[in-house]
Amino acid sequence: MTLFDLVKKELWYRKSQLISGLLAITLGIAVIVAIRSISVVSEKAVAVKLDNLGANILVLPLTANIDDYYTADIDAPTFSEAAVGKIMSSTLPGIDNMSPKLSRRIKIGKELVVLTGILPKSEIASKPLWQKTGLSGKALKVSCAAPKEENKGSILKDDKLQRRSVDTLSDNHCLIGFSAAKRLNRNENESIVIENKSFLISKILPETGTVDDDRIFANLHLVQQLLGTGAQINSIEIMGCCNEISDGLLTKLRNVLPDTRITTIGQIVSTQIETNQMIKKMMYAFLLIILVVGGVSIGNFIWANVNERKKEIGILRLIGYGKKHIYQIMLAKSLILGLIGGVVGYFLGTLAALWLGPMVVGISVPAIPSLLLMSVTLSVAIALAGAVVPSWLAGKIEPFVNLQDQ
Amino acid sequence: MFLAIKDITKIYQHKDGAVKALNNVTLQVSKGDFVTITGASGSGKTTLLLTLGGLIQPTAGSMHFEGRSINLKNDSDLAKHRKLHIGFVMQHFALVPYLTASENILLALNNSELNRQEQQLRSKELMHLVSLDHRQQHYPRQLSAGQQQRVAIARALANNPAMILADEPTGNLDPVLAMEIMDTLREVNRTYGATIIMVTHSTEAAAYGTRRLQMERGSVAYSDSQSESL
Ligand SMILES: Nc1ncnc2c1ncn2[C@@H]1O[C@H](COP(=O)(O)OP(=O)(O)OP(=O)(O)O)[C@@H](O)[C@H]1O
Ligand SMILES: [Mg+2]
Repeated sequence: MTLFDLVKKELWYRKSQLISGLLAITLGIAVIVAIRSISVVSEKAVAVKLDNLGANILVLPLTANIDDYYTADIDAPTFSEAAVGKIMSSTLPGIDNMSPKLSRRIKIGKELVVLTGILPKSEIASKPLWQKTGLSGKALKVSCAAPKEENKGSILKDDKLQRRSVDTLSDNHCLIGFSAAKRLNRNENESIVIENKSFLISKILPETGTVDDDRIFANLHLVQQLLGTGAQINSIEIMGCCNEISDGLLTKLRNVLPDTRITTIGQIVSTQIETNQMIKKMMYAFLLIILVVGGVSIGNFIWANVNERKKEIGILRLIGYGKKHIYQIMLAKSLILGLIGGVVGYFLGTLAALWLGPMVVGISVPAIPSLLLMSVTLSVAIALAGAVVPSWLAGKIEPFVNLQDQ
Repeated sequence: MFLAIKDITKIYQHKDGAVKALNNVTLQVSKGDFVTITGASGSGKTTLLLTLGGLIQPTAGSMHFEGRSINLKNDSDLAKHRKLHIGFVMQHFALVPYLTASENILLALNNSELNRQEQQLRSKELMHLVSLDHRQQHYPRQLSAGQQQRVAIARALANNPAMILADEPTGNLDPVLAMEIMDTLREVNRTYGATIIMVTHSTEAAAYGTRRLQMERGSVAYSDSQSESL
């Protein structure tokens, strides 16, 4: 008859108490696991959606204003393309994606269009420095050859623009915006002469309803040659991670590029930051509630148990058990509760998430095995914390009083 | 001297004022004594008994057991002392309700030098001693009051204690059962040489004592067999 045997028998003897005590902690853990499982997935979903909003940081020449960026005037100020290399070699965390551009208004025949030089993905990836920073493969997503037709909301004014990029764009190819193609009366695979150079139209872009529709996209370095600007650009669009933006990414970028004007596309950034922070805050609020409720209910359970067991504790003291043993018994008991609550709570919560995820949030949620460790740890910690005070009081119980009455 | 206490005073602190339950009690008990303690309700009998068992910390005074001074402040020392040397028998039996008779005995054998198998054997032997061989797997509620008290006596004997402290062991039993229990205790006293200190309200039970004490308002009044009959 070890102390552990004793604890087991006592738990079994007071089954209903055990079940109600377990219920509190199990449900608490289940709720945490369910929320966590769903929020991990929904955070990812939100991240993908936010990503689709496009660039949120603009690097512009010192003298430029946002309007220049949109209108691409002939005399719009420019800055050196070296800035791209500087950002890359700074290896600032939080820069997901960047795309340098040079835009100018030009005339083709009688029609006014905007010629925009962009860097195709293959060219960016081939820069050894960028490969070294590891950004070319994973983080640097200078892509989206086919503009997606979602996110057409008003705040997403530059949505299509941001994501306009292509895998390869050889020197004699170009892409033409929908209305530019119409005005110039050109089709795909036809040729077009721009600034005295002949290009093959590799694609006519679908209509986006933005300034992009009047643009012609060609290789940045070629555009620089044609316009005679040298290695100049007039904007770098950057996709920064929301957390880093709120962590002062802008200031750091400004330190790297002191001769430029760096702004955020305010609405996009604030939407991203707010969404992420809201999810986080919700998690913390739930966690706090559950910690308090779980801790209190376990404490209450152990306390009620101590009161009910005063006589037994007196008996144990009588036959040679010290206060130390009484603490051990009470803590062993809460440890068992914590373990069971953690494991059962994990499975309940996961099942709930699997079931509720698609129903409530509309996303399918996978089970997250690593949460098992977290829930057991959390549950045991809550149970032990809740049991400390009652156990200490149990140790202080004087056997005298309790042995007197039946 | 087997057991000696000197100038033991116990004051209970209570919100309605302090209660002096023991007042400078000095007492010596020889090995093999069967001491009975009588006295009015509230005279401090239980307090004295539990102090002797190290369950109550006296406000002042000292205690020696088999020549050793007992540190009345150290809880785990006192617990060990109880386990090795003292068996308790209480009025309400003090059995754990969710353990069987033999499990109640095994609980007292936990952490002893005996291994699991030897503990089982010892528990069987003790149940036989109190004539409850066929009641080992019974829970306390399935046993009569007298049987429960015999289980409690068996448990008190588990670790071969040198001393048995009993607080009104027959208080909950009818006279016939009471005398059975008293016979069992006398047997324990005679065959095993265990020193017994027993608090009782019953003169019949008190008559089993080889030495009789009376308590009055926290103090011990000695009495021999002759004056006891007054
Ligand atoms: N925990 C306590 N707090 C305050 N006073 C107490 C406490 N325990 C006992 N007393 C008081 O101490 C005195 C002695 O009590 P004790 O129980 O030792 O008497 P007793 O002789 O065993 O009485 P009884 O024959 O009724 O069992 C009583 O006046 C009692 O009220
Ligand atoms: Mg009493």
